[in-house]
Amino acid sequence: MPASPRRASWLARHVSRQAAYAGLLVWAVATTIPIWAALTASFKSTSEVISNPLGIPHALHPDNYVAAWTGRIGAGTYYGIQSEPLYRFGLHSVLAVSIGVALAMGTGTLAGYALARNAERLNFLNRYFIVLLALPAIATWVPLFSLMESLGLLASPAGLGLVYGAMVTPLVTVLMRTYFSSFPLDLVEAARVDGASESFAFARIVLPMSKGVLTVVALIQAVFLWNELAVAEILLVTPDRGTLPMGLIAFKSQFASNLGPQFAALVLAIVPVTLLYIVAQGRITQGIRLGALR
Amino acid sequence: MAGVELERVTKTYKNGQDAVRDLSLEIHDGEFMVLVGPSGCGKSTTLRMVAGLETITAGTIRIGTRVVNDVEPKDRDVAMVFQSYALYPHMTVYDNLAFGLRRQRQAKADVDRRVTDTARALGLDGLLRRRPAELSGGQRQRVALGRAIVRDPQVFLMDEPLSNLDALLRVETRFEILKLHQRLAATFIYVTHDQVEAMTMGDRIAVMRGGVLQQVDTPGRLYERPANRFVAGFIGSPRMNFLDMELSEVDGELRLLGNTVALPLTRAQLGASKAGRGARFVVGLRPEHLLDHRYASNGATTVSAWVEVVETLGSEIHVHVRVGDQPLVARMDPRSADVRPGQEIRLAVDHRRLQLFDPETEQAVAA
Repeated sequence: MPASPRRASWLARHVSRQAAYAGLLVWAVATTIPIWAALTASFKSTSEVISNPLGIPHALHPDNYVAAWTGRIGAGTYYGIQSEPLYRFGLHSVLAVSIGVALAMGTGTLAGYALARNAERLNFLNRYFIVLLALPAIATWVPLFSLMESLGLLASPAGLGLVYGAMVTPLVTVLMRTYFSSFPLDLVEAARVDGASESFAFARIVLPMSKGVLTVVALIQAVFLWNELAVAEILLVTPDRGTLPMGLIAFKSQFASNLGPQFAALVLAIVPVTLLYIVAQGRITQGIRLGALR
Repeated sequence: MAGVELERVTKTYKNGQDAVRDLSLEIHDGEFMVLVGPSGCGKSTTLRMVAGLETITAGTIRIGTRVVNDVEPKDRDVAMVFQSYALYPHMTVYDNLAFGLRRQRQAKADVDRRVTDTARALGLDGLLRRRPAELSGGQRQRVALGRAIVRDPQVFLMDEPLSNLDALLRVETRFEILKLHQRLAATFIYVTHDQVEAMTMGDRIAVMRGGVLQQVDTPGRLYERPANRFVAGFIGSPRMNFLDMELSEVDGELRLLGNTVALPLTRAQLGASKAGRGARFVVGLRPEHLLDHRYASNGATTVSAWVEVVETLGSEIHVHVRVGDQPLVARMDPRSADVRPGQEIRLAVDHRRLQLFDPETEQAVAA
């Protein structure tokens, strides 16, 4: 029996669907293996990490975590600066990322709303923000260093937070503008006829309805900044004021022969972001769903 | 309470297109005014200009005696019902209703009393703790109405508030809105594209087309005396029949001659028109003025017609016929239920009711 065109298209659809599943499976495995490796290695002795990299630990070494948490970095071995435990670096990261995300969400959301509501008039500004996105970050490093130096904000995690805010504001602005330009304007107009000013309508109608999207955008920025290393290395000139990624590097060189604690430190660095995801999960799926519907 | 007056109002968009052109319209205190027209005719833009959601390019808008050209929507003391209802989805029905009152900084007890009263009047008592997503379409519609009523504004603005309801609910809600208007005795401006809605609800109707006001009048006069061919065709269902005809005079008797039909005409029907022999007209005939000749009074002009389609509505029958190459619709009563497609019938034309339009300007002639 010759294959009918309908059957052929069914076959094509079926095969391409199977291929997509296979691709997704490979991707899932590829992303899971490193996490699995780090998680298991963090409970292994150094020799076992080498002899048995992917297997289940033969004996558990929870003391790796004690070493990672309390192990002091520095003590003359690292630029001769006073030693600091790893979690101090984590606190610097929390400070810098919180300031950065708060700043970017504040300005980016307001700017995005203004751009969306005045699309025609402010079109040139919208292009400006898109150009900012395409600007290679490395071009800003030297002037950024001079600027922060003259402001006396070198070696300050809070100062780094300001820079972080400036770094991600363009992306937040563009994302929020796109979202707000499909926001149902009827609701704002209803509120205005009902006696609300523009700003009141924004605060009480637009913002509460955008919680999901705001959460997703904030989370994406937080993860990006949590992992950021280059700008932190440049601006936080005294290493004991460093962020977590800097601390992990220092930790690695200090515990070079001790692989268990190294992996334990890595796992600890993932924990805050994971927690953030779990807490915000409901809102994230809601935000993505809203985005898909509009 | 207050009337609304638009004086030579124009709205021009940035691309140079006029959404509304030189519109003058006086809406009396307590009147139910319907703005009607096809989509893009400027009726919604007009409503939004009264609400203050759209700036005006030229002209003056007054609410009561106050010029509101540059007054913010929140300070105009109008309420608006949107086609989409525009209920705040993250708030309960109670908070939706209370929103405007709280903006007026009313005392908590007053807000509570007015919200409860309004909810009771609209049958929303049991739903106050729900969110809009948990309501049916009809319930949402009533919340939207309630949000307008609760504030007791001077003017109610409604932008196609019934178009998202199913047919049955639409008729019911139409009735509810009319009762509401009688009870509140407030000024209503109501936008719709549905001429039946316009005819059944309006004290007066403003027909718009392409941003230009065509005619403002009571439903009865709009139907009987349309100002131009557009209004004549827009108001009434099935729509008016139009025939191209030429004026002639035989033995001092005026006659209109078409390709297949000839109709007598009186001088009075020509009114002040100076038209003489050879003048061309578009002749408008309402479907109810084409009768089954068996039930028509003697003396009417009759023509022979082929029946193409018969639509039986119970109380009346719409018979689509062809006279020569001219398609016509006749509205007949149930006695003509025996008319069948493919049959030849004789139509009696009530020529005393015909209306004349200038083929160039499309304006009504005389009368």
